[in-house]
Amino acid sequence: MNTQITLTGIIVFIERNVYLRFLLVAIVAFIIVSIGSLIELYIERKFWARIMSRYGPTEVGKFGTLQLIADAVKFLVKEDFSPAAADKTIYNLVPVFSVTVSFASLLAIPFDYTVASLFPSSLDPSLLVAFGFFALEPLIVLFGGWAAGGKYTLIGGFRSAAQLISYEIPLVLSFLSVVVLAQSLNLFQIIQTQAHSWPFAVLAFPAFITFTVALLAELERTPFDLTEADTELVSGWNTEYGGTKFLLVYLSEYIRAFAGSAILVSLFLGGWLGPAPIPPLIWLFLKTIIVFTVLVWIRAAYPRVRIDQMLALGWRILIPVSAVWLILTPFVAHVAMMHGALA
Amino acid sequence: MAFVENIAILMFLFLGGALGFAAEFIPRLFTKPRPTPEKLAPFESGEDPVGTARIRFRIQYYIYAVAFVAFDIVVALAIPWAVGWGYVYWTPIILLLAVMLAVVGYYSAKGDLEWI
Repeated sequence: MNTQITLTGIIVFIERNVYLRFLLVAIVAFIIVSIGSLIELYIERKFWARIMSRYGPTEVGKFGTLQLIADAVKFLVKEDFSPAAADKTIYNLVPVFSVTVSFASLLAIPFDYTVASLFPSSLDPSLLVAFGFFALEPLIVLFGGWAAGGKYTLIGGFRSAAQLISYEIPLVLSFLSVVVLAQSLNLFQIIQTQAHSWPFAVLAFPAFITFTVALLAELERTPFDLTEADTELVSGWNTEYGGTKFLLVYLSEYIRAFAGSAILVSLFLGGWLGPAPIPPLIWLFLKTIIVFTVLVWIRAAYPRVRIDQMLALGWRILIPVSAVWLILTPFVAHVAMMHGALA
Repeated sequence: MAFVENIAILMFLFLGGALGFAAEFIPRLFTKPRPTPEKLAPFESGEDPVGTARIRFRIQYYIYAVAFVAFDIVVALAIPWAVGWGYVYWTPIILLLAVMLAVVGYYSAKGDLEWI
């Protein structure tokens, strides 16, 4: 009788058990996104500081690299309390929901061939799954703002929700022109199509611009961070959150930023494809971090817009431009196919 | 819609939720709540809070929300066209998007999209 447990035995066991397999995929995605979020936070603090002629974190660790760990430990030993006016159940559940939903939107991101092969091939409309989870954010923001029991949080929640729903329509209309080019809602398929064609950032350039602007607003980053506006207002809907609850809200923001950048990379910039023979996962990761760095650069370079400018930009410019471009895209696809720019 | 992909979604939700709950409960193990009235009061720039937090809010948010729901249905109807544009008629989707743009124009002209 062979009772020896071998590595291949474990792998076969995990492959056969569908629950374990997907739990493993989730853990891998979690490790990737944790490393991604840490790098994002470091870039956010250090790169931003360097642009503004500051130093950023320097004390803890070499070049301040351990500052984030120190901050996390500080959050973990903070006292846990809920404001007296808060609806305690919802107030405590909102951070958990927030991080869960943000994390679940990673499900659709094609990190790698190997991760891709672990996923069921029937998860075909993976883009819809990702944006379905993205679209839950306004609800969480409203619940969080209402449940905390402050006037500022309530108003902040309403403003956030108005901003998020205003930019959701241009966001979907812009990614639909990529769907028109690739004729698929599957992100793996979209990246595979780009292997034999020009990057969609070139073929669908107006959609690339509208998607980037709409994504900036969806992630509530400068110049669209007026719900947070940390130099003028307090912090928007999450003012009353402290300790690990704030940590969860903050983490979910960076997970969303990572997921959003990765979706942008997969849709328009060729995902895991690249000229040099680096593993595909590293390519996607590198491109995502570069896109995020550009977002930080935009944050350092642009002033914050006013709320009326923000809403006018969304409704009057982005929606018409992305809708007209969506109707024009099939003609572009036709011309590109004739000239061999699209497979 | 196969069964396996539901498991994939469930596992992601499970892991995210488990980590979230763990992060909320770990600090409760080694910190003791010491509530004071000031600590539990809602933040209002350091002043004493005035009245309740259940305040009235603008009707404007409602208008944006209604516009969003209507437009989102149009966008949702555009998704199947975007996947299979080579095989279906284009007239309905062009009409829908044109109506949507006309509504945006009407909203703008009427001033309902202005932030007062």
